[in-house]
Amino acid sequence: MIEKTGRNFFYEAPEERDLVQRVKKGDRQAFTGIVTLYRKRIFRLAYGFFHDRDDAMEIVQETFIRIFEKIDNFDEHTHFRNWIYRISLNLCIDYYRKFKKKNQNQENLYQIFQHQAKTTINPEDHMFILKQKQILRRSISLLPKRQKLIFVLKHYGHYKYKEIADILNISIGGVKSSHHRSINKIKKVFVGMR
Amino acid sequence: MNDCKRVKKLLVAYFSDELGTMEVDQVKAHVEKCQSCQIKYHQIQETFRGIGYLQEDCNQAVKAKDWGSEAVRLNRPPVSSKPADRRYFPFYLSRWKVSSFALATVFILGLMAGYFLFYSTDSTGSKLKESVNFNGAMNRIETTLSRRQILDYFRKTQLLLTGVMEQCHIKSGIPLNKWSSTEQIKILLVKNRYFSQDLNDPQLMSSKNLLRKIELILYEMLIMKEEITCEQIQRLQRLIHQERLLLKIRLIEKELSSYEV
Repeated sequence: MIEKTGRNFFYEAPEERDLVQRVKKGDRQAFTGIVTLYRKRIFRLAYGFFHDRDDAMEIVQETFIRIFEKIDNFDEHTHFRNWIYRISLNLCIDYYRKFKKKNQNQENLYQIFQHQAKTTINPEDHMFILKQKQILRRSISLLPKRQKLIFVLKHYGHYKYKEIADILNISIGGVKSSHHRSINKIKKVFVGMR
Repeated sequence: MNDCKRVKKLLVAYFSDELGTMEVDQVKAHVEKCQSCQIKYHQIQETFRGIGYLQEDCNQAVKAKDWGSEAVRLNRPPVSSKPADRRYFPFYLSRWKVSSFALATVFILGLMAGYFLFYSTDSTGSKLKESVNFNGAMNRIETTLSRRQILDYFRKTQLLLTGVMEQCHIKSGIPLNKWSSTEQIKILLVKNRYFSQDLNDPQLMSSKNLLRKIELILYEMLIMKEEITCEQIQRLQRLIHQERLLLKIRLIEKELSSYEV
């Protein structure tokens, strides 16, 4: 059995640990360092979830507030990056749940597919790419929670399967199969509209 | 067939750059041969291209953000939110503990205030209690009633005794039952016995001795036969005069009538 610390060791920056320790002691400059280190990465993940700049920025801000409040609870034997990502992804899920409650008109993938099959446009058209993007966004938002998390981490965070498994604390096989399924679902809609 | 299944499973990993060189070569080789896998290959390639558009959007959004001005917003939490409210409470006292403690103290204080209002011995408290206590009111009514009865009794005996004293001036042998019947004397005696037994009120205790002396004289009068001699009457008069009964009765009458409201 591999230890948690050992597993995370090979991609952990030593400066990061120093920063975390300084933040725990109440150093504000160190906190600014953490913000500059992670703001874009968290923004990417949140953007993958919502495809909206303002929503993503809100998640980024909320994540840093959480981090500052809960940094005393952070276990230094685990990886700081995983901890941050888990916080931001949980916030994304909560935020999405609230958003979902507001918008009751939920479509499933099949309905989108049928709708798009009727209205096919010339592929060379610029409008077609916009339409493609819209369909993709919609189909990503309709993925199940776990598949969506893995999809966002893979395509917006650009992480390897092993890193995703570490962040979400699941097996690599689980990550692979979930990613495979999510891509297949999106493919069905995306190819169906052509 | 087995190769097809395996390659179809690997295609997503292939486009995600998750395969080793051996596996990449295998996939490439198979896709060139197999048509159904080629279709699948192109479909997934298309999907990844579409996802690439979204990634470009994301990159543009990151570039477009003014991170310099956002830094001020993001660094705000340490200034504002690190909990000033934590300082007010010690770490072992959470807010609900403090609030429950405050509630308990308020409750206990309320109980104490209630106790002092209703059970304390000060003037307001006793008044309250008296007004509330039904038995106390009944006792008061009883004492006033008995006081009135005794007053009535003393007035009657006064009449009787003054009659005896007036007999002295006439100095004749008129029988006693002409101005007072024996029955009236008997009633007075019974009343006397009743009062002297049941007198418990401190205001009426002074009349107890007087009642005994009156009882004696009434007995004397009852013993007398129908024909009363002048000597007997004189003896009675002397008794009344010695004890100063009429004066005492008058004083007690005054005292009792002063209590009347």
